[in-house]
Amino acid sequence: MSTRGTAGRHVRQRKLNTKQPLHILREDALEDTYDDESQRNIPQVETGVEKGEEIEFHLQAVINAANAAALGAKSNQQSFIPTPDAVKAKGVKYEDFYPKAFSQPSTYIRFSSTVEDCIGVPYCMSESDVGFLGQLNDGKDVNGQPRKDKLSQCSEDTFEEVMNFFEESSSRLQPFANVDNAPILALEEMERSIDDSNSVEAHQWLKPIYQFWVLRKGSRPLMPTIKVRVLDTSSEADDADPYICFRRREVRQTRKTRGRDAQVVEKLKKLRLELEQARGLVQMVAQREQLNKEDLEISRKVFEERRKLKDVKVNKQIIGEKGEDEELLVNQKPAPKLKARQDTGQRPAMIRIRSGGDRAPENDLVQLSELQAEAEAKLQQQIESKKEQHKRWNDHWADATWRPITPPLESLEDPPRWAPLLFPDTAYPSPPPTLPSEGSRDEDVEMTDQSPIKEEDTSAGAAVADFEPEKVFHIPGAFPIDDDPRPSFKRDSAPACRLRYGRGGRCYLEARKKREYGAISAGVVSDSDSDDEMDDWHPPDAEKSFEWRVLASVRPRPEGMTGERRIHPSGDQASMAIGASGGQSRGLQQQASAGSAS
Amino acid sequence: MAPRTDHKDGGGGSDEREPEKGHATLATLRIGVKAMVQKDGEKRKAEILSMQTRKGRPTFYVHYDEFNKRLDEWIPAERLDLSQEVEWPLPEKSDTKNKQKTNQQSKNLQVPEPTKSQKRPRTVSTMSDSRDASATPMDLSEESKRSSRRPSMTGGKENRDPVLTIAPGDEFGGTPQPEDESLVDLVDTQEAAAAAKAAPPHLPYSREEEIEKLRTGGSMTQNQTEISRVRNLERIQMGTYEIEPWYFSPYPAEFADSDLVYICEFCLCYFGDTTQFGRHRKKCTLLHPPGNEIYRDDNVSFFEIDGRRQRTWCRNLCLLSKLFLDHKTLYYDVDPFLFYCMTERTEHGHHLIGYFSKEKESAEGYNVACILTLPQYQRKGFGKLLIQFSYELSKIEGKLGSPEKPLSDLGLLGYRAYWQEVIVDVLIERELEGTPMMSVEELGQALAMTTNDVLHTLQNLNMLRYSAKNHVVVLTEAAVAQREKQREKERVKGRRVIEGERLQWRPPVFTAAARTWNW
Ligand SMILES: [Zn+2]
Repeated sequence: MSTRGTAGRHVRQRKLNTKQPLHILREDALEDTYDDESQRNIPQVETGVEKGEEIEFHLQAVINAANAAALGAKSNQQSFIPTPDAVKAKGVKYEDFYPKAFSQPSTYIRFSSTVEDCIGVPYCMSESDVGFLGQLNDGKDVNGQPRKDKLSQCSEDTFEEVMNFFEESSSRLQPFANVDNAPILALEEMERSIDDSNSVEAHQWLKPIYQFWVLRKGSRPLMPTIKVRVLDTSSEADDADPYICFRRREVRQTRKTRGRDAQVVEKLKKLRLELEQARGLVQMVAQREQLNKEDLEISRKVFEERRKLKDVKVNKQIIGEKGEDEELLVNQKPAPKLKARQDTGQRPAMIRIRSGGDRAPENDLVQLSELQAEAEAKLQQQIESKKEQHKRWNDHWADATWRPITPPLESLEDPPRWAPLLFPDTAYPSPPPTLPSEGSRDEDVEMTDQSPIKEEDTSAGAAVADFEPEKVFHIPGAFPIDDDPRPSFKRDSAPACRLRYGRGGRCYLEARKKREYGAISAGVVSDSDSDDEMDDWHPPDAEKSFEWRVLASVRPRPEGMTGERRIHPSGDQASMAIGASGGQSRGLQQQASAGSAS
Repeated sequence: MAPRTDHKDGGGGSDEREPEKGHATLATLRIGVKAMVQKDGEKRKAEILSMQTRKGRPTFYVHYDEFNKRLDEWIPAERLDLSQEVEWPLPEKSDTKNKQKTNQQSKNLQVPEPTKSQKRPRTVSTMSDSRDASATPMDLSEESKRSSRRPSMTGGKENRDPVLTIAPGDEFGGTPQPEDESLVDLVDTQEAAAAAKAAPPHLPYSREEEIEKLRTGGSMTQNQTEISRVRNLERIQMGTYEIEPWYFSPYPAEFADSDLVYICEFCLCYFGDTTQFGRHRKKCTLLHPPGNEIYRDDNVSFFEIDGRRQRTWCRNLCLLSKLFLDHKTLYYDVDPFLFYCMTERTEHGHHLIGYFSKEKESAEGYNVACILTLPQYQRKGFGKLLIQFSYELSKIEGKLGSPEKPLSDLGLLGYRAYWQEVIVDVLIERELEGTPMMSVEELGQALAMTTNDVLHTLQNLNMLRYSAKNHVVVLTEAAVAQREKQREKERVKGRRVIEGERLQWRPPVFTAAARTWNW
C-alpha cells in the first residue's frame, strides 16, 4: 500500500484511525517480526516540556532509561530527578505552634470563612515590639522615661490592635506615602479616625504606643506585604518588576447600547424591589417573633401571679371549691391553636403543669367547635319554642290572608328536591346559557339560596310574552301526568326546570322532581287544580331534555320581557322556569313578581 | 531585536552568536559569564546570575548548563575553575540610542576585554570590579527582553507562555522577530533612561544595602528580570519541615533578608520573624483549606477553593507553589481558577500535601493548570493521586482533560507514569474480558484522557505497532512487568487510589456575569 517499501516506516504506512478498534496483543503473539528492527526506536513524542528544559541532563537520563525499559532492556538502575532538600525541622516546638485542636466532623467539611476572618488582628508583634511592650509595662515610655499616664498593663492583643490601627490608618490616609515621602500621620489625625470599632483599651493606649510606631515606621508597611497593583496603571516598569504580582485582569468590555442600559436599569430596579420585599418579610417575621416573645412573657407573668395567689391561699388556709386551685393555675380559655396543633399530628413539646389532678390540661380547654355547637343548639331550641308558641297561638285558627306569616308546615318526609335532567351517562356538551341576554345571565349568578319555589310561582314568574304561541312553550311530554284532562297549554303543564351552575362553570338543566303540587304553599289560594295532581314527577328522558334545551335557547325573547321574568334563586344554582303561561294577564304576573320579591 | 546592527567589536553580524571565549580573573567576572564550576566532583559549565560579598568573600549564584534551575546555587569563588577559558556574554543588539551611550561611556574606560563586554554591566554586582562601576545597566539580554513582555491579558493561563520563556540559544534565539521590535525598544529606552538617572558610579555594597535599595523601591539597581532568576528565599519552615525553595517567588522583598521564612501550615501566611509567626499562630483559627471538602478517604481529603472567594488564601498558595514551579506565573490574579487541595489529617488539622489549579473555563480543554506536590510530600505517590483526582473530575464533567503546557520535568514524569499505569490496566482488563479490541478514542473515553495523550503514551511505551498490515496495541513484556512490579509494591505498602464514589462534587456553574467581571 505504501510506495515506500522500507520496513522502517511501517508505522507511518497507514494513518491510524483513532476510532477504529485495535487488536490488543501480547508481544509473543505478534505475527511478523521482520520489521522488529524498525521498532527498536521510540518515536519522538511531544513531551510538553519546554525545549530548553527538555534537554536537561536529569530529565534526559530518566527518559532514556524509560525508553530503554520500553524496548525491553533490563535495568535495575533507578533514574530520578534530584531536588533540593525538604527535611524535618530541628528543634521546632510543633505542638506549641500547632495545638491539637482539630476534631473531624462526620460529614464533609463545608466552609466559607476567609483568611481575614480567621487570623484576627493581622499585625503580629515582632521581636522589637516585644521589647518595647515589656518596657511599656515596666512603666517606661519609648525613651525609657517613666510613663505619665495612669494606665496599668498593656496586653499583647491591645498592642497589636493599636499597631494595626496605625498601619491601616496610614495606608488608608496616605496610600502613596512611600512614593511622595509624605510626613507620618500626626497623633491628632490618628485620634480623629479611631472609632468604636476599636476596643476601649486601644483608645487608652493609642498615645503611648504612637511614639514607638513613629520610630519604627519606614516607607514600607511594618508587616511585609506582597506588591499588588491597586491602581489600574500598567506601566512597562511595573510589568518588569518581578515582585509585583496578582494584577487585576482587564474587564472584558461589553458593548454599551441604550437598550442594554435600559435593560440593566430594569434589572436593578427589579432587584431593588425584590430586596425590599425580602427585607420587609424579614422585618415582619422579626416583629412577629417579638410579639410572640411578649406574649410568652405575659403568659408567664400571669402564671406566676396565680401561683403566688395559690401560695397565699395555702398560707392563709383558704380552701376553695374542688378544682378551683387548678383553675387558678390553668388558663380558663387558652388559645384554641393548641388544639389545632394537636390536630396536625405534630404535638409540640409542651410543659406539663402538675395540677394535682390527673386530667390533662388540654381536657380543660374549651373548644371553639363546642362553643359553636352550643350556640347552635340554643338557637335551635329557641326556634322550636317559638314555633310551639305560634302553633298554640294559631290553634283552631286558619290564616286566610294572602301570604300568611306562618305557612303551613312542610311535610318533612318529602322535601322538594332537584334531580338532574340528563342521564348521568349521556355526554352532551355543556349547554349554552338558557337565557340569551347577557344581563339576565348575570342575575343568575348572583342569586342567593332559597328553597325551591312553588309551582305557582314558577309559572307566574316564567316570564313569557303573551303573544307567543303557546306551543312553543309547551314541551310535550315534559310533564308526566298528561292524562290530565286540562288542555295542554294550561299553565300548569309547564315543567319546572332550573339551570344549575356547577363546578367549572358547567351548566345543568334540571327538572323538578315529583312533589305534592302546591305543598309548599299550601294555604295559598291557587287557581290551579293542583290538588289533583299528586303523582310523582319523572325525570325526563335525554331526548326530551335536549329538546327543551334547544327550545329554551333558540327561542328569541320578545322585547320588554326582562322585567317580567321571574327568577328563583337557589344558591349557586340558578333556577328558572320554563313554561307557558297561557291565558295569564300581564298584570297578574307583575303582581306575583312583586309579591315574591318582597 | 534589531536586524543586523553591525558591531565593530563583534566581528560579524549579531546573528552569529558564537560566544567569545577568554581567560578571566575574579576581578573580571561578571554576570552572564559562563565558567566551569566544580559540581559533585565534575566540572560543569555554569552561568553566573548574581554576585555578592558574603562574609567578606565573593560568592556567585550560578546556573548549570543543561541542569534544572532548581539546582542553581551560591558557590564560593574556589569552586570556579578560572584556569579554563570562560565564555563572555553574547553581544547585545541594542538600538542606536543605547549604542551611542555605550560608546560614549566606553571612551572613558580602559578595558582589556572586547568592548562588548561592557554591555553587560550589572550594578547589582557586589564585586569590587571597578570596570563595571561606571557602566550603565542599559542592556537587557535577549532573554530578559522577551520575558519582560507581558503575558497575554485575557488568557487565563497559569503557566508562563512558553514562547516568552525560551532560553537563549534555542531556535528562536537568532531569528529576528520584527513584531517584537517596538516592545523591546520601549523597554530598553525606559530602562536606559531610568538607569542613567538612578545609577551613580557605585562602590560595592553589602547585601544589606542591596536589600535596602530594593526595599526603597529602586528596583533599577538590578535588572528586574534578573532578580527573578535568583532564588530569593533561603529556606522556609512549614509545619514540621524545613524546605529549600527551588525558584524565585515574589514574596515581600524584605524576606530576601531572612534566613528562614515561616509559613503557617493552614492559612499559608508568611512571616520573616519567629516571634511574629508565634503570635500569628496564637490567633490563627484555620485548620484546613478554607473551602468545601469534596472528597475524603482514610488517608487524604480534597478541598475545593474558589480563587475569587478565597483570594488571600489562594494568593498565599500561589506564592508558596511558585517556590517550586518554575513555569508558574503570578502575573495575574487568582480569580479565574479553582484550587483542588489535597490534605492529610491529624489531630492538628488538615495538612496541605499538594494541589492543582484548574481554570473555571478552559478554552483549550485543560483540566489542570498548575499541579504541585509540596517537596516534603514528594516521592510518596501523592502526585499520582492528584493527577488521578483531576481525571475523576473530568469524568464527572464528561470531558476529556489534559494538563496545561508546558509541563515541568517532574510534571512530565508524573503524568507519564500515571498514563502508563491506567492505560496498561485498562488494556489488561479488556484482554481478560475476552474481547481484546479497543480503539484509541475508546481508551481515552474510559480514562477521560485526550486522544493525543493516549496516543503519545502508547507510542512512548512502544505499544502501538504495525503488524500484519494493521495497527495493533501490544501489551509489551516490559509494560506488563513494570505494572506487576508496581502491584507487588502496592501489596506491600498499600495502594493509594482515589475512590470515585467518595467524591461529592458537581461541576461548579458560573454565570455569564461572573465571566464578564472576571470571575
Ligand atoms: Zn495561619
